[in-house]
Amino acid sequence: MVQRTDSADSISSPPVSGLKRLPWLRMTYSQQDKVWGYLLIAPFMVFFLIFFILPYGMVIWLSFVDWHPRGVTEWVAFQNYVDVVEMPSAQKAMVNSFYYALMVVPTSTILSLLTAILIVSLRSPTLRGFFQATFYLPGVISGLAVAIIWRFVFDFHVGVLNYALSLISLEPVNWLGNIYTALPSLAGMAVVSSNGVAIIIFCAALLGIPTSLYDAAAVDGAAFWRKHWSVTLPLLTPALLYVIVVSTLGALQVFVPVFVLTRGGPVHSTMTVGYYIYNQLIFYGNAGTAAAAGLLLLIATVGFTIVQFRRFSQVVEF
Amino acid sequence: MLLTVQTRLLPEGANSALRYVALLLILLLGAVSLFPLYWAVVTSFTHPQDVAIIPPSFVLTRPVLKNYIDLIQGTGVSNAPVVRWFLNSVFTGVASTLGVVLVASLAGYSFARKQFPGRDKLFWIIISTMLVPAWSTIIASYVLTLKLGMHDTYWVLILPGIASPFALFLFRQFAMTLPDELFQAARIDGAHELQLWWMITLPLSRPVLATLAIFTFVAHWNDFLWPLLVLNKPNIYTMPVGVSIIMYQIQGAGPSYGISMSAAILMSVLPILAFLLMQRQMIQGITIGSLKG
Repeated sequence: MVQRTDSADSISSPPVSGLKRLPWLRMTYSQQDKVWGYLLIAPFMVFFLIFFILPYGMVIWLSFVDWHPRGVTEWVAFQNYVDVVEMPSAQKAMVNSFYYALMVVPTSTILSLLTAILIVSLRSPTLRGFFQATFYLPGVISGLAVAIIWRFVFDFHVGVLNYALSLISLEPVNWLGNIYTALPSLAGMAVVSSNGVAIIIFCAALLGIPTSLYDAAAVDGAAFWRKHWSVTLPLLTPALLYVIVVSTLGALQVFVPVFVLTRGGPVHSTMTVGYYIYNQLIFYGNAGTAAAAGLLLLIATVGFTIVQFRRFSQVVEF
Repeated sequence: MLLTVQTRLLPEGANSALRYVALLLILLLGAVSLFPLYWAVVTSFTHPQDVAIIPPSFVLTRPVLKNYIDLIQGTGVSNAPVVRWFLNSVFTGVASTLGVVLVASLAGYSFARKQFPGRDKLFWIIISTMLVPAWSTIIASYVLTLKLGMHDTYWVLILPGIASPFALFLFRQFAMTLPDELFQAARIDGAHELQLWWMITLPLSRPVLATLAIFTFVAHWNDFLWPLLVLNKPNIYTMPVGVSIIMYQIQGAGPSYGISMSAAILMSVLPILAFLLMQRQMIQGITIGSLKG
């Protein structure tokens, strides 16, 4: 606030008349409104420009140079992209991330939808709230803590999974140490431990379907499956779409479980795009390759992003 | 009976057997989803000697604090100031939460209630950055903060997250629902814009501010990737980074799972407490952030 009014004036009269002396407040009301609009978003925009928009430009630049923290930055044109596409570990990372998403997304979506249907079927709101909280609780703790806990669960000698197998007289499995089971194990962990948000969203969507629609369908003589096909499913589509898109984007970026449980191994069998980028940046100091891989990931997910963008445009009203 | 199944989701005339199956199924799923956490709690209070035994004991018979004491004293690992890490996380979490709420509430108020050219386009651009994979720009953020000399300082944990599109979105959606009469009345009384924000918008937004604060703090507390990239000095580590370093040093040996589990639980205490205290707000926040608007 820039107020330079006579002290006597500002004491004797209400603030409005005092402010009228200021040249910039001779503006019309709508002009003032504009200025205030910009002033109020200014703090946000400063941080947004520096830490969101500037990195977009920088990442494109980085992907075309050979960058080192100390040393000469060299223009290498498309060499980083060529490196990423030709590197076996990067190819493996893309295939693995894709497989991982394919294992996680459908299973966890169906599981959370089933859980949500069961929760919504409860007539008591208290119990509904209780079960929503129960399923959401494992989701508030950090992915790191979850992964640490699951390292114990997966342990070859003392893990609870192999103990369960021994109870039914099966051979223990080296869940994380075997190239065939490591990635599915990570996927299984994700399916069991990250459904909280999806369940809450499905519950809200299911509870939001007006009962009158079901009554109307019943009057029209719709049978059980027909009712769900024509009422539940269409009204659930936005929520379903949202959950699928968000969980796909999340699965394609998986990093923490890989970092804690397998470090990309054994033999690159759990190398994912996220872990590959981390590796390139931290262990090899290849910010350029990491940037190129990040941009390729962005291009690969652009379809999903557009779907989600459309979804947002329906939701956010202007 | 408390548990009855609504006919609208199950077949007409669902008999009591079906209802019990549904109940059983939900209990089973709940048990599976909570079991790892439960076992971690049990193990964290079990004496290291008894941690790696077969068959495992699923109930706590002799609770001891040894794992937590070992963890905090840094037994068996070098350079592990766990208390300091915990406080680092608390401090930067509180600081960034205050920053996020302040900046987002100012901007959210403006986007919701002011008219200025380019407003809606700008809002779109900001919101659309939420949809971009974090991995595609994090390398640039890493290089940028390195060039700004922010690595290994508290700043690198606070400043890059201040402009939060999610917070802006949540607050704007709420501020749009406030009745216009209030603002007009206050304007007639001579209030200027900052007063409208401070004396009308903020007091009315307490619920959404609480939701926002809790989400921001928990997200900051749980964040692992960013601090892992930009912190290299043990004194500045946040709790998750420190714990991951401990895990790396002790990994392998069976009895060390006691310490791992106590670390996992210590990291989870605040988020779980926050959730238990503010369940309703958090659950509403998820639905607003994703569906409603």
